[in-house]
Amino acid sequence: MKNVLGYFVILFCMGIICVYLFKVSFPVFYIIALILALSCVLLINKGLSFEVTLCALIFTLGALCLKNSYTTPRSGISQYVRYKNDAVYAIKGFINSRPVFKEGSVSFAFRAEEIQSGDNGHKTCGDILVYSKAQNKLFYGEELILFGRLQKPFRLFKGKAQALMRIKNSSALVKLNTNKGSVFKKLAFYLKDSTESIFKRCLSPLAANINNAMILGEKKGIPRVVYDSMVKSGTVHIMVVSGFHVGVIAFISGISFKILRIPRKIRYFGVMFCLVLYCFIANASTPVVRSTVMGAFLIIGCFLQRETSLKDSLSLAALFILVVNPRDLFSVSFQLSFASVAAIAYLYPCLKALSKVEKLRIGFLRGIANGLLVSFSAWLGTVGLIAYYFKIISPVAILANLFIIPLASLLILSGLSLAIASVFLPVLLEAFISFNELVVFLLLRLSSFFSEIPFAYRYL
Amino acid sequence: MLDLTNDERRVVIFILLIYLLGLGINFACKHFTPGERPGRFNQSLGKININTADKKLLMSISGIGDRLSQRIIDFRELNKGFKSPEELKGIKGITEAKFDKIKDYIMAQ
Repeated sequence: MKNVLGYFVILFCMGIICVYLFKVSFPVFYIIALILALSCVLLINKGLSFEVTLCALIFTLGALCLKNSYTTPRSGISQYVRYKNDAVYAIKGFINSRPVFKEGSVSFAFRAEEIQSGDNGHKTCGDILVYSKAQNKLFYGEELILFGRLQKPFRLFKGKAQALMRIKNSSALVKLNTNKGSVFKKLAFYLKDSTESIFKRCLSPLAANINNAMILGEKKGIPRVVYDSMVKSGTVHIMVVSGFHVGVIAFISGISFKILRIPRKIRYFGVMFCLVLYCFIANASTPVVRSTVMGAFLIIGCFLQRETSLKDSLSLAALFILVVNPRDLFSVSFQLSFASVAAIAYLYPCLKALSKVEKLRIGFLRGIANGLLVSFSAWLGTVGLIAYYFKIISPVAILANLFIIPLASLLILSGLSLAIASVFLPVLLEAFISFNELVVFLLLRLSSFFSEIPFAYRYL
Repeated sequence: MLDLTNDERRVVIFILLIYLLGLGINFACKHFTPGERPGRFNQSLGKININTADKKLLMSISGIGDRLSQRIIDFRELNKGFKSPEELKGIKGITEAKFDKIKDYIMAQ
């Protein structure tokens, strides 16, 4: 079966890269796209000429998509960032992210709605990254008026915030005691906070931080030594919430709905709801969005009783992410996430056929050989990118992942079970805590062991 | 090359046309919609009242340190409060330039 969506993704990406490298005018490209779209309609019954026009149209759409994302609205908050005239603004809006508290200060994304300077008031839009030393009790969705100067954010290209504001005194942050956030996001953040507090209460600090990173996507608390040993052994990817987590969530929610005897078709929607909720809990980073879209695609396939394909769902996930934010194409997490899964989808079957693993008679050996091939495919797919971005090559990763991934799977399962047990089955909590601590200990020791093997890694 | 059936072609073209149209509308909205003028919210919000602020709060204003905040409090007690922020200029250490820098953060009520 041909992976048509895969071709579409490649063409779309080429369009994005074209705009990234060369200056392109939006109106000119838009007119070209309109002509191509009309040509496609006229040539719909033709063979090759239709397909060539379609490919050109998708390429142009990729280019337009990035160009459009570069265009900031005339009333956007970035228009108010000044370099010489540092005017003080009063900005009304609401907190658009989960506030992060650290060492007496708090940072959050603030969705601006109205801005006022002197006698002039305007409606505005866009996110501001706010650092405040003034308030420590802030919640997602809270409506505020901020008072201060706007600055250019450090990484304008990669970040979503268009401006930066620092607040030092408490009177520069006024609470309006109203709430504007979405109920769905509130639920996700509430669950995240609850799970985080369960880990903090039940586990040792190190185990709680590892669980926070692997299950909730909060990597701040991981000690540098642990992180370094994982980078050296090529197993740091287990700290990223990705496909396996989504699979576990789908499995647990599916089983729960089955036990509750919910009809099969409604169950699919329930599982999908849980996946999207988990996506928000895990900060909606690129790998988890990819996994959620892939999971949703597979669930829809099951619902419609259609054949599902890993390649098609991967391509659809890539298109979804790029249409929403084409700048993600240049982010390391997007590239690594898709490179590893694409390598497993495309390289692994070839390697499997070449190595003739299926001819092995002993099932256990066949399983290990298959695991090694999957690990090798993922390593091959990402080795170039890792060498380019992180200046390190870890050949030991192929072997290390064979041991680390099953342990990481156990840790995710036990962490999630611990969170659920603390609410529904407190009797079993002690057992889950001991098991979780053991798995964390083994995981760290193994990672450290693999990083200390001679020639395990090499810095470039 | 792509082996799409006629129905698949129609669906793909339909989706792409909708997307193209959406991109155009989005671009036009960004480019041509001017910022509207809403009703203004309370001007004094977010400003420090120099008649009631304690030393710590005054020091949170960029440019006002330990000694200057003490002078402001002394001046306030001596003159039974400030009638306008401009009266701050009478305090030693608050020059015209410094007043311009802090005036947006303060009010006298």
